[in-house]
Amino acid sequence: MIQLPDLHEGAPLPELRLTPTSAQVRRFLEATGFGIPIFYDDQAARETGLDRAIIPAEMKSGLLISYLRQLAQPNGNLIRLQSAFRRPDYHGDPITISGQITRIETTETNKTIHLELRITQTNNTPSVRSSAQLLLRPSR
Amino acid sequence: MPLSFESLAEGAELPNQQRTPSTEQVLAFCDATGTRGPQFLDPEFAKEKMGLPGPIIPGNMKQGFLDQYLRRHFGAHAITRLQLNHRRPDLHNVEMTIGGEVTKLREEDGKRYADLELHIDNPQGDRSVRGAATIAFD
Repeated sequence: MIQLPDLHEGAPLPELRLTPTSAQVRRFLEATGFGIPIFYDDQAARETGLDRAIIPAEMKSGLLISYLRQLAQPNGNLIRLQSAFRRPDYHGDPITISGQITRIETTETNKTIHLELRITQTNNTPSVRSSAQLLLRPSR
Repeated sequence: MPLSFESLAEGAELPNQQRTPSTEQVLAFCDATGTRGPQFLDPEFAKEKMGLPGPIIPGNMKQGFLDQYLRRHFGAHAITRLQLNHRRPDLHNVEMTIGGEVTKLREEDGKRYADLELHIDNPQGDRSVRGAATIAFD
């Protein structure tokens, strides 16, 4: 279970390492009805200049949302996520979700936590850069 | 057949698409993305804690449907922006209608773009998702 760090601007978020497998991508494709060969067929992916089949951006978005929902527990909600998908990620390659708190807004009733996030590959190259906001109730 | 830039007109509606996501599909999605939350899978939780008739579809799964809708209509052209507001829950095994409209056609730096509004409606005609997207044409 991942959790928010102590709430201060600049605090790093816990790293989450994942290795999305071809089986997981297949489950995602079944669930959403994506039928685009570059997501499951290495040969089709190579014909478009990729090394092999890639992970759909929407699946990476889903992984980020899952991570953020865990951070927001138990009293918070994810209220915004904005992502720029910069590089492909391949089936079976490890990726790491990380980030930091960039701003905290406090009102009488809640806190809004602004975050920067990224997905990086094993060579530390970012494939996704994101920003997000969590709304936390005052018990935190 | 993907839509070309030339075939679009400002104000033109995009074709509607109906989908009825099943509980099995939601399970597969949650499994694939690590999405956890009893509101997505537990009928008792949905009824007792949320006052809903049944478990709901994750917002990011609906995002996936809209992404797929765009890819279906615009083929390999790049989706450069997809921005969504999730306004109402959608339930498992209930038909939803995905649609949209062309709001603006423009050229910038020699590239052509189509700005779109997108939506998902439930069977009562309520808008559960409102969105906007931009397609860049080669």
